[in-house]
Amino acid sequence: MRVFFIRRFLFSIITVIGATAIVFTMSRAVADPLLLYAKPGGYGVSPEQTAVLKAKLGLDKPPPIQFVLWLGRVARGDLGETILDEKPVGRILMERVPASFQLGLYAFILATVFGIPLGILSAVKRGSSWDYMGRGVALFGQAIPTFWLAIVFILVFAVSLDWLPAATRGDGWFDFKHALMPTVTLAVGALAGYMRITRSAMLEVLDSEYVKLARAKGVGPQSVIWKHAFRNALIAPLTASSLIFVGFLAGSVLIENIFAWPGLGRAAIQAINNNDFPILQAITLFFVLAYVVMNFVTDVLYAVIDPRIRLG
Amino acid sequence: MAQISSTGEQPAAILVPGTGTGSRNPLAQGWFLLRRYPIIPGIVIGLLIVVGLFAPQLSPADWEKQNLREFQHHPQTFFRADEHNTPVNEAEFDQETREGRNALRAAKGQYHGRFVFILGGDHLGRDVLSRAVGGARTSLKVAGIALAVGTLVGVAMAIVAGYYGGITDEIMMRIVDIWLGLPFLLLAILASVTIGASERTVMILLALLAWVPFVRQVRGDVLVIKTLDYVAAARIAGASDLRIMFRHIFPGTMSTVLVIASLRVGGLILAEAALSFLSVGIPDPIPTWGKSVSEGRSYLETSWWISFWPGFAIFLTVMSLNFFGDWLRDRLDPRLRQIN
Repeated sequence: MRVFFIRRFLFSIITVIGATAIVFTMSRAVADPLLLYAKPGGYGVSPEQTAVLKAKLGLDKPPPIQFVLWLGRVARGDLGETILDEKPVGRILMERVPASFQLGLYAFILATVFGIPLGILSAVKRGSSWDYMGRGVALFGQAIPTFWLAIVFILVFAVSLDWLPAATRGDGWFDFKHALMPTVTLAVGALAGYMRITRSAMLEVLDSEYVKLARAKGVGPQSVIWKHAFRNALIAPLTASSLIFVGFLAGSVLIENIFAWPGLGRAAIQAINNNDFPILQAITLFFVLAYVVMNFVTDVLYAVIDPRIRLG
Repeated sequence: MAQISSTGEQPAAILVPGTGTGSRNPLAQGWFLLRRYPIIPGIVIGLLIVVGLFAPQLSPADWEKQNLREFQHHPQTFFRADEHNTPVNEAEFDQETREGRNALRAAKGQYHGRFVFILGGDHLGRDVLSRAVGGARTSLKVAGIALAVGTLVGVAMAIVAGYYGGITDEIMMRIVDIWLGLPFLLLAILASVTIGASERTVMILLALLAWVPFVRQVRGDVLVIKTLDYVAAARIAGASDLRIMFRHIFPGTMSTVLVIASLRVGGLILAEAALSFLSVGIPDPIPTWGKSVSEGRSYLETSWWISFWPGFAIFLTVMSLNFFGDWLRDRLDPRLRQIN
């Protein structure tokens, strides 16, 4: 167990270094990063100012050293300043995190509450109308573009029926009227994912020898499903749940943008429109770190729940 | 339909090839065929390919042609054209006077035939259907090329990793793990912003998304195939590593490759649409579905059709591709049921 833990941890660190290297390389992929700050020959940019800016941003050093310096600054929580109004990027990030977290949490709850039972139901009653409905939901959820679903929701519930507000977060955490449409849209994909994972895991378990044995011994159908099959079938969706949660972070880029939800995803798009590269870079970095951490948690969780993984 | 219920659970419908439904009812026969073969998805995909290939010939109007007179044109039915949408009879206009010439020009500008604006016009007076047709071409091209490149790279890596094993395998699989642990959309946005959005950038990014699933699955196949006798025989006969990998192992992975490719296209089309929607994808003037949906957002209250139809096209396409992929998987390689 300890060996497994340490190996996964080291691997996560390698992933973080690799990912930060990718983000850093991208930030230097343009011919001259200064172009993001000041166009050459632009209005009122003198060579002296360019030199000052270069020194300030550490661009006068070779790239590998820049990378190490940048990594050091990031590790200390210094993500630089925004280009637009020179505010610390870290603070903007912190302001945006709660909204994104709220949306992700709500969607997560919604997807779990509906996805897992639907998966179990459609596996247990295979071939029934429940199964068809479940599989229909799964196919639908995987094929529908979330941004289009969001727009259709707005068309129906905000424009035509005028039941729900089309945008913004409203009064915060418990303003469910504002949160409803973004939550549902964000949850649809994850719900489909949960349903598929749970269904296939449950089918596999129901087909296993020990469930057949339990049945042969005369254990009642309810008991077989809940005591024998259900617990084992839950491993797959449980371990997938952390990844799905992080998937929300990325999915929120689209959803938050449409519903004007003041979270990280919207900040990223605003940063693109404002050409504010440091914010975009910081948000990407944040998401990457969240991914890696959640992956690590998933692996550990998996190993804790399922001995075959840590011993195999 | 055969029913077996000795275990107390409801079995899925058992479809044995050639048995049909056993019913002579043509409706039941038709329903059986629809469930057994991906007929509807096949039609949609076939249509998409034809429309994509012959987009310039098939689209009712030029998808770049703007016409501000027809700004946010309502969808018109084919049989009942709008009142001002009538063929222009030049003799009715007095072309001697300036007013007459202007009126003639206006009338000509308003006549667009019966096929244009069936799905309405967008905020610049472009035909929504033509934009969607052009978008089909773009989607097909971008996703197709990205998939081809991704497949090539992924399969090559999988065969090399699986065949050589050891440290090569370890390194390649770790690269795959790292890649899987990254949020693609965000990195794609970042890359698109720094490199600059273009059709080529999108293709490269999608290819980077496409190759990963191939490596894991195909490598598993290779690990099995390389222990088979005929591979050993080829080696004894003096075949080079390259020859063995390409001529002897690669054909054995074909069904897996086909299945994964067919299951991946939908995802690629969705990713392209998402990037274009966020305006970091394919730049103007190339029409794409994602961009059209995004453009219509500002006009939702007055003209829903601008956003609705291109999004519906994405949905229909991806749904059909997924259906088809599922069917192909069950046909060729039921083992792969676990992926996705």
